[in-house]
Amino acid sequence: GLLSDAKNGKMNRNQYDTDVSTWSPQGKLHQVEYAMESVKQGSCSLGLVGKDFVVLAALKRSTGDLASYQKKLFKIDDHIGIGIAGLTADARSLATWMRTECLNHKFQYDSPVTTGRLVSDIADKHQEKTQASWKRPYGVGLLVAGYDRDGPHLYQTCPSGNLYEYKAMAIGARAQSAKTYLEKHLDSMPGADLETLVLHSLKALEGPANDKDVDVKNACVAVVGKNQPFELLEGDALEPYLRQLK
Amino acid sequence: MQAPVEQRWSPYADNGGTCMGVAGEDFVVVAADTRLSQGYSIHTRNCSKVTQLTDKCVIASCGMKSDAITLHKHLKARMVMYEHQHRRQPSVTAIAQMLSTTLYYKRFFPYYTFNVLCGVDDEGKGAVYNYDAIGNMERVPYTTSGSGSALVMSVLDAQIAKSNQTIATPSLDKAGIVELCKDVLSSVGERDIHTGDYAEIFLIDAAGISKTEFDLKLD
Repeated sequence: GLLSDAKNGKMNRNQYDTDVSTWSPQGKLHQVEYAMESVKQGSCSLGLVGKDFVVLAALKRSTGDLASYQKKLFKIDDHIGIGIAGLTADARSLATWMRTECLNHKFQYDSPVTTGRLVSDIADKHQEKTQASWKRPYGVGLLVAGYDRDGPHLYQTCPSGNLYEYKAMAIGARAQSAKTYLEKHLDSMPGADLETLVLHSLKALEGPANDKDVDVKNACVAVVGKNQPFELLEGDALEPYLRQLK
Repeated sequence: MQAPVEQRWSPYADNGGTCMGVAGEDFVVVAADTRLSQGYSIHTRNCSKVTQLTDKCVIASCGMKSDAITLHKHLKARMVMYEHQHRRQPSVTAIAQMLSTTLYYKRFFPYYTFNVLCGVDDEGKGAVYNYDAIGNMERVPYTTSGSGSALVMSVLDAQIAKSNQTIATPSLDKAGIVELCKDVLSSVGERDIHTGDYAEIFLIDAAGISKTEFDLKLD
C-alpha cells in the first residue's frame, strides 16, 4: 500500500504532495488521495437500499475495555442520516452543517430538503478544500441515507468532492468483504421487508469484523424510509436481530 | 387651518383573541380561542394560537399573528437543534429560559406576542410561564394573555387562588379545571368582541398531550 511504497522509496510523489493545490506530473492531487486513505483506515460503514427503506450499519471501534465505542451513525433530519468512515471530528463538522441546512430549508420552504440537493452541496464543500492551498480536504467519507419524494436514496461522498449514488455500498476498513456480500444479495433487496434489510446489513458487517463478533456493543444500525423517520438501533435494540443471525 | 398631525405606518397589528394556562399538581390545562381578527373584521374563525413544542410542552401566543407564527417556527427549529445536540427533548424550564432570551434579542423591534408557555416539568409538576413582549418571564400557577385577559384574570384569581376568600372550598381537580377554562372562555366571548368562534383545550399530563375543541359564539 501507500505506506510500504513510501518506505521502499518507490514513491516519487514527495515533491508534489505537500499541498493540495499542486498537481503531480501524472495529473494527480496527492493530498486528496491521502485524505481518501484516511477514509479507508476508518472502521466499516455500509448502506443498502430497499423499495421503501434505506438501512445503514457500521462497526464501532473502541480504544479499550475502559472506553466507549465511537459513534458512526448520525441523524441529520427526520428523513436523512449518515454513516461515516475516517476523521470523526471532520464528520461532526459536516453533520452540524447538514443539520443547519436542513433546518433552514424547512424554515424557509416548510418542506424537507431533497437528499440529493443536500449531498451535492456537501460535494461542493469537499471540492472547495481541494482548490485552496491554505485549506485541507475533509478526511471523512459519508454514506448519506435519505427518503424523500423521489423515494429512498443512498449516496457516497468523498474527500475528492466526487458524488456517487448506490443501491448498496460499504466504506472503511475491509469494506470489500461487505461489498461482496451486498452484491450477492442485491437482487433480493427491492423485494425485501425492513426486517430482512436490517438482517442483511448486520450479516454484511461480519466480513469487515474479521474474526471478531458482531454484537450489541460494536454494531449499530439505522433505518429511514416510508412512514419511518430516521431511527438509530443500538445496544439492546439490536438483540432480536443478532439472535436471528446465529 | 388645522394643526399638523403625524401620520405613521405601524409595523404592528393586533389580531385579538385570548389564551390561558392553569397548572395542576401533575398536569396543565391550556385554553385558547381560534378567532383571528383585525379591527372589527374577522380574518378567520379557525386559526390555532397554540403550537406543540415537545411531548410535554406547548406555547400559546396572543398579539400579532405573523410574529407569533415566526416565533413558533423559530422555536420549533431550536427544538430540533437541542435534540441533535443533547439527544433528548428540552425540559419546560429550558424552553422557558430560551423563549425569554429569544424575545429579548429583539428588544428594539419586538415580537408583538404575549406568550403563555405551559408544560410538565422534570419533577412531573405542572408549569405555566407568562411573558411580556420582550421576554420578562415568571412562573405562575395560572395566567392569561390577549384581548380578553383582563376579563379572565380576576375570575382565575377568585376560582383558583381564592386570594381573599375566607370560606374554604375544595380545590378543583383536573376535570374541574378543564370545565372552568371552558366556562371562562365562553364568558369572555360574551363581552370581548375579539374572542369567540371556537376554542382549543389542551391537557398535558404524564400520559401526553390531548386536545379537545368546543364551540364559542360566532358573533
